[in-house]
Amino acid sequence: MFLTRYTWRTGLREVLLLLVAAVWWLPIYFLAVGSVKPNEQNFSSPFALPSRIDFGVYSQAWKGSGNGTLGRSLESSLIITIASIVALIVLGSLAAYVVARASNRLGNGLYLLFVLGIILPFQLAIIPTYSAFRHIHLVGNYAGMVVLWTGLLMPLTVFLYTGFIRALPRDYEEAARVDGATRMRTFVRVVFPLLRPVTGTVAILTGLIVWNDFFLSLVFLSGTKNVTLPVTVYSYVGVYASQWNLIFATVVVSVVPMLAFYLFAQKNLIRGFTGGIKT
Amino acid sequence: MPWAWALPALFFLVAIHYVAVAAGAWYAFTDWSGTHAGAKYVGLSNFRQILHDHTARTALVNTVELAVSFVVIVNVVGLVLALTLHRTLKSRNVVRSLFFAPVVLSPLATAYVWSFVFDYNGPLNAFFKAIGMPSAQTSWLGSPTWALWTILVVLVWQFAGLAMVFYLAGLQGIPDELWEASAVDGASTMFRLRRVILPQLAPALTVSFTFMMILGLRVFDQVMALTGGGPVDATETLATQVYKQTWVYGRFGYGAALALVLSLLIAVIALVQLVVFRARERRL
Amino acid sequence: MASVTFSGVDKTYPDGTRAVDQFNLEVEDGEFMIFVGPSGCGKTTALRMVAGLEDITGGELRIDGVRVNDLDPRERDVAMVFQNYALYPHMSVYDNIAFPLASQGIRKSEIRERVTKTAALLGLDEHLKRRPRNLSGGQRQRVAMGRAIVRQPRVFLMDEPLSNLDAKLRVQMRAEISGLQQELGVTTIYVTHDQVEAMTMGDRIAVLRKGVLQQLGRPEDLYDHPANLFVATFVGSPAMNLFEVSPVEGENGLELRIGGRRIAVPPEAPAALREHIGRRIALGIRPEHLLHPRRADDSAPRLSGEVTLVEMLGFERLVHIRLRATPILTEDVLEVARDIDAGTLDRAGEGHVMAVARFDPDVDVAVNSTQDVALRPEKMLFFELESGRAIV
Repeated sequence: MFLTRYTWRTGLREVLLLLVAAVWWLPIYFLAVGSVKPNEQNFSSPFALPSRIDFGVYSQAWKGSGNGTLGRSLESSLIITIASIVALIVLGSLAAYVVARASNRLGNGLYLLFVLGIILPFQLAIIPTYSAFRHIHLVGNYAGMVVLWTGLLMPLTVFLYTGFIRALPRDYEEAARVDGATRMRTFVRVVFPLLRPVTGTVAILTGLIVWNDFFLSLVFLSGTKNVTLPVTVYSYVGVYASQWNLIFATVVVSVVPMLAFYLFAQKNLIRGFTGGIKT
Repeated sequence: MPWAWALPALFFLVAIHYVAVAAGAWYAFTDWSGTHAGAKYVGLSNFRQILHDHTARTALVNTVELAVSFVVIVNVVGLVLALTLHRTLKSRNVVRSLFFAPVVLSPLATAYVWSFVFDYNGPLNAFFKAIGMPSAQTSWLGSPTWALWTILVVLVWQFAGLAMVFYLAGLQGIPDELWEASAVDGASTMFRLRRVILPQLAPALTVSFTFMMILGLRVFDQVMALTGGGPVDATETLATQVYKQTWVYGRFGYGAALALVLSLLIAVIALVQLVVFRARERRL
Repeated sequence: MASVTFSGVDKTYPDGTRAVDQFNLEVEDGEFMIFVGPSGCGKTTALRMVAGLEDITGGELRIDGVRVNDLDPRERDVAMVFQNYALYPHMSVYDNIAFPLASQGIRKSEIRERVTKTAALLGLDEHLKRRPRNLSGGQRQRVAMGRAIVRQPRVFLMDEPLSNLDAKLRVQMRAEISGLQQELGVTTIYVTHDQVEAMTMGDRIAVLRKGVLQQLGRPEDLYDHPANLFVATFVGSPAMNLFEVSPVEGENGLELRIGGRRIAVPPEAPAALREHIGRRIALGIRPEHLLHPRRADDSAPRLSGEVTLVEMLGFERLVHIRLRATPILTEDVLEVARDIDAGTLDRAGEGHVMAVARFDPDVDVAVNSTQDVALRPEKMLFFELESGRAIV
């Protein structure tokens, strides 16, 4: 096969690309190395490996400054992300099932209503939502963030689920119903397990968005102990000024969970991204 | 159908996406300050103010400049990476993972690493000094000319991997025979790229350009981490202005007006781009 | 165990299409009933109405005398085998078979007992822990059967359950399903488009076309006495030979004009033929009733034509003969032809009919020779052209 033939030109291409990739990862190198270097070395020799390794900054970073600790905001990020994913999956899959299986005009109208939400600008929604949430005490706590995310990401979730369910043969559901299962049992035991691939996509996409969000957490959680990691990092950096080893240690703590997850599930993650956006 | 099953999701959808968006659009025409005092209708006064406010105008120009250059560069880089990576390379899976990694990392957190890179005493200037170009050393983040482009670099670094993955998916869809036929026909590499491969990639181009355009117009985290909008408004974008005017200065009505401008900008630019690309797809 | 009664059942879709039209039929207790017809004839819709998967828009459907029109599928106590089996892919074979029992809230120990028994009956004991995708086509088919019979439902519904199997396995499963049904004695409705399946498996067969019941009867009734041209062409393979004829009064009684020649009407022919003197009607005769002249009585009417193809099948010879006659090209005949193979109609050319005769293998026939064939007088069938109705 000439398409997969490996020549010296291919070899050259490969070496070049690996070089570019190395440069691409320089910031991540700075981050990893810089956090365990004595701070003055970050400026005197930023490219060099540390002369001595000092994990001390990590305990300092972990203790944090001001009103939140990294540990506490790690917990907040986890709770908000997981709760939002669960709420989106449960409510979104149920709604999408109804939308996908209702063949009449009402079903199509409902679909349009959901999907139009993807285009509607959320920037515009944030200000009134914020003031409404203040009235009903949803600002500054987990519940408010989960409600907000469930609403914001519902169109994407329903869109992904509906596309998948529409392509799913009805036979399984019909068999279950003839087998004597109630509608709820049919959904829980037969339909939902069949949705696993798209459930994975939904979890990955919405999880990434929620986990990495800075803007909404800044607006809705600032000043409370419930802030998520990015907001904590933001507020620390202001305090640490140019203590880069401390800043880097903080950043490392905040990106390591995602990086670990990425290394563990990168194939599915990349597929989830393209699959989610193409369907 | 058990219609009731859709109701909870529908409730969240309507509350956040319809009621709140409508309310937001209404606030844009008021002088609301976020307190209980209530909002007074002031017509187009907020928008007139945007036109006269130097910061807002700078933010608008910055946003468009940044978004357009980001879209072009990130797609060129992503496409080149994808074409280089496709098929033959032995290390293609590793390299793909390396380039994609920044996509999943917190934009805010990673931007701080970049602010170290761009620091006056940081590695970039150290590099210029080392290669004997000390005159190239600059205060990147403190310079009104350069600050905006540092944000562009960070954006491209973060999202080129995503563009690459879009194009890799598109390339996978091109049947082998097409590559073989064009090679057997004796076409040059550039000719093949332009006449055979790019037309086949048209759907991926549409997706990538639209997606990146929306990302670019909404840029917020990177600005907050790198420059905070400075020096002297030089890197303000509409998103940072919406945040500051509303939550820092408490001008909810004015902030809503800026948000409306941003929303319309996204809608118009993304929609026009989508229509143009789809029309091109059909012609191909 | 139960009877299933359709009384004037209709299915009209919102866009006005009539899938099932005034369907009247009673499936008796323990009977193996076949619904057969070309695609789009409404057989599957009728079956799904029994299952409760399709709304009934008119008429009444009763199971054991009780109206079930508005009952949910799970309240009807019927089991169904789907064309693609619809085995739950994420469950093991055991869980698939157990699903209907678990849905009824039956105790775990009883479920185990019944699933084990069913699996043993179908020879699935060794595969209980496997997932459907790791099974062969025949095994999947058995799991689907198991899921249906484990419940001991009142009625079995089967929607083309053999269409996804290869030819050999299909023959084997045909016998297995018939045997199982006889053993269990459960009322069964079986949908197929394959008339061989219909003829070999059913106690009775209902032939449908465009939502309308054409004929209901035992396999031999349908074969020997088709009620109309559609049933005549649909049942039997190779299909019945059809010629356009016209009864005329001849010197020695009634004669048939066929393709420029005349043959005598045999005394066995229906008397009602007289009412059609001078009109064009259809003459039908099955391939095995076109005899080699040596095997026929001298009095049998004869036709002659050119042999175009001889198919040797071992136990018989199918001889294709091009006869001078006008073909029957009414809509009902064409529909069946389209369903089988669109190309078979115009091979004969203008004013000719491609007839097929079933000869014994020891009779020598040469291609391109001229061949006489005799028509078995008592097996000649006549149909009106316009209505397609049999003349009896």
